Amino acid sequence: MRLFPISKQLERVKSLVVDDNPHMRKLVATVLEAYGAKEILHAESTTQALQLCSSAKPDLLILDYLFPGGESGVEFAQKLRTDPDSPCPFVPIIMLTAHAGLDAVRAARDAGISEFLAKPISAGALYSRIYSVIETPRPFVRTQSYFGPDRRRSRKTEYTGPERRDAGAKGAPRNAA
Amino acid sequence: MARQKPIEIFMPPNVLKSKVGTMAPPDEGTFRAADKALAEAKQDFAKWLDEDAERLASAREDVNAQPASADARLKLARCAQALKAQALNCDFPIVARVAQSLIVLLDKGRTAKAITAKLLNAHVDAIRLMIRDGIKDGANPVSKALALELEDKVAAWTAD
Repeated sequence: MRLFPISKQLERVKSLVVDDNPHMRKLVATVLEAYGAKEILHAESTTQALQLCSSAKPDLLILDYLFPGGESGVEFAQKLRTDPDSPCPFVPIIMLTAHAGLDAVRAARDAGISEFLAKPISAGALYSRIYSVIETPRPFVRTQSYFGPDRRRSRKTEYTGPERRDAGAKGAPRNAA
Repeated sequence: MARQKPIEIFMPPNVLKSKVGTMAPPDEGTFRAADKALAEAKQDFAKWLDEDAERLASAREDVNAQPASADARLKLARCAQALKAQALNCDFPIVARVAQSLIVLLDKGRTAKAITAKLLNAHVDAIRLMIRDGIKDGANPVSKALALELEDKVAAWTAD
């Protein structure tokens, strides 16, 4: 089993940090570099991020929630997950945001975000999210209305009732996948 | 005939895992280098915040010039959101608190004909003052009282 020192963990990982604020990108990059990342791409808009996703194929996306000019990190994530021409539909996406309200978390989850991280960032919290997408990735779910990581954190294998994702199933929660 | 379920569950290839191998589990003791690097970057925080405050002040001027402009208010709200996020990251929680109050004011004022200029300007001026004087948290009694007063005024204004 390979176990790199923590300062070299991300040495071979190509990360893309998408945030309109250059200072925020620098902060995130600083933490990633401390974990050994050598290739960190920066995008200040989702348009630029999409181009970089196509040309550079990042292994990990760290994405802001809101951008000036009406761009939305949530919409961008959804596009990456569901667009037939998406260059990286499975890329792990960590959403980094000051909007830590339940609505924001729900919107991010429904867009196919892998992990959610509230600002202010800390070295430990970012590592935990990266650890999570690498060591405990969630399976992907494809339904008529959703494509992305399973939004349920735990999976009870002993359940024998009706399929809860079926729209017609009694007690089916809305938007559950 | 078995009904075809419109659901597919699968595990995509874990590219990250193949590149990283096995990660060391999260452990507070191992984050020292990253925390140190973060702390060094934070030395520029006041300067960064100042730049955000300049953008906020500029957006405020646009709102003052066109109080009924939804675009100008939206731009100011986005500046306030960005500044709040930056303030949280830069360890200026009192600035984030006033920025949040401004966000509430702008949000609740969406349907109002015009946002009260006096209250709006008071928020922006308070933010600039706190950053200029390096006031980071509620330890400064004047700033704490000011933040509370602004929140109360916004609550009263939005309740009308």
